[in-house]
Amino acid sequence: MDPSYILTLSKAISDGLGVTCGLFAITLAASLPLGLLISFMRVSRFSALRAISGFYVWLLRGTPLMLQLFFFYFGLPFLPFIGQYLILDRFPAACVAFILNYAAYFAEIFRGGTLSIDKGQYEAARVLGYSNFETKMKIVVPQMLRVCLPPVSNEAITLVKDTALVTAIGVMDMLYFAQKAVNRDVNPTAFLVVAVFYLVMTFIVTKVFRYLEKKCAF
Amino acid sequence: MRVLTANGKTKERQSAALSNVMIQVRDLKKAFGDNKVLDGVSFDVFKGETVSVIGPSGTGKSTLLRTIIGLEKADAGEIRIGDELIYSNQTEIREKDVHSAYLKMGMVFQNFNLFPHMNVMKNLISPVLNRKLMTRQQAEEKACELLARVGLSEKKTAKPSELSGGEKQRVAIARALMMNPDVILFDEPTSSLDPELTGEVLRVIRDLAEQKMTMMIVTHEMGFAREVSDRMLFMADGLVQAYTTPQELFASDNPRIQSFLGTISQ
Ligand SMILES: Nc1ncnc2c1ncn2[C@@H]1O[C@H](COP(=O)(O)OP(=O)(O)O)[C@@H](O)[C@H]1O
Ligand SMILES: [Mg+2]
Repeated sequence: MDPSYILTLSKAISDGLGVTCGLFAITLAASLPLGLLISFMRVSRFSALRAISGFYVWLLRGTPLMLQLFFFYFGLPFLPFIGQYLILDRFPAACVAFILNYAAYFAEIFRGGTLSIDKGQYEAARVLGYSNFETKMKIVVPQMLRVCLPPVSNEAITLVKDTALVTAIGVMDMLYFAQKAVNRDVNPTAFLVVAVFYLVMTFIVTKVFRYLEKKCAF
Repeated sequence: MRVLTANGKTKERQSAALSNVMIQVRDLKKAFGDNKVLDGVSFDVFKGETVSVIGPSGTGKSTLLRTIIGLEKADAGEIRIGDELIYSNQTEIREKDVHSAYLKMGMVFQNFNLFPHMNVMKNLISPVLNRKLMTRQQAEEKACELLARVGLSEKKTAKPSELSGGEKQRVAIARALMMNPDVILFDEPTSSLDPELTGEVLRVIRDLAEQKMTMMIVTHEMGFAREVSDRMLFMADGLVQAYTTPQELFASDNPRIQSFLGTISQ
């Protein structure tokens, strides 16, 4: 293997680094709060909210992410009446699909985490004058988020790798450039190089979450 | 505060004469399904009094405290705190009218229920700051005072997970005191502690009794109850079987009391 060739490949692949990292960051930043909201709906007093959020989670977890990606990029414009307003560019379409999909997973993680909070916490909060809403926001959610850090970390690592799916709708991420180089040079080395990129990313994500887990330990 | 009767008229408060009564419970009933746990419980606790609640396990002692402080909803009867009617099945009471009356009561749980994501200082100041009862500086000063009083000045920045059971319970008592309660309810405060750690918690409670805090204490520590209580309330079968001074209770020839005291001293 020629080092200068590998350097050329690395440069080419890093053209997609911004897109991959951007998709990762946007998805995480939006799907975590959205997942929290959906997890609230899952345990709401209102049965309509429970039903809607239950259906949402079932639908988004029960179908392939790749299919959802295709739907938001190719499928939306074909919806009757509103379709013409829903023509999304590749990258925004990818973001929407990823955010909605990951929110469903996070919602389930948060729901499980919420169930693990001891009922004594609610009782202590109640006798200390916390309203239901204050109890949720100040007592339950902070503990729940800590409990959920390890599974959220797992999802974040999966997300790093899932970003590569967007190559399928022509988003120019790292894998897109790697594949282009392979086709052009008829040489699979670019696949090895891009693998190292993903490994470094997952390594960093793992370390960041380990740090958070330590820092937020009870 | 106004209490509205069913027909909307403001009700004359008959308890005005009983101004030295802190807790008044009348014919309180509570069932879980077919299980009649409280079957018409009535008693008063005077201001500054320490009352131990004793009785066989499963007899409704916890349910009694939890119903008084509103963690369980009673089925029938009346509860007054000071001169405020906070529960009645006869009278319509709006929750927001009695909210502040409920906050006059603190509760200490068997399992401490400290907030594990907050250090000791935050456990103490967060509730009063949440209720906006004090400024942060006032809250911190008061917290320091109370931590000194329960002997935990060194533990301000410790997480609950770093404390022993006895220390946790002392923090929980300090946390309850932060709200300046008129009454503290203790539900088996030493039952989940190792025997060598009960003493430090009982000392704090005894100290409160000496300062005339009004308290109801569910406990199996008979020696402690006998020594610290002004009166002891013996419950069985969902009823108050005896409510009298420790001397009289321990001298009672009531066979139920005798057999209960017999089983517990073994
Ligand atoms: N939330 C509940 N749901 C159903 N039954 C309950 C509940 N809480 C208590 N009980 C029942 O009420 C009875 C009294 O319980 P409790 O007040 O905890 O007794 P004690 O504190 O005297 O041991 C028990 O039979 C218990 O099983
Ligand atoms: Mg009990």
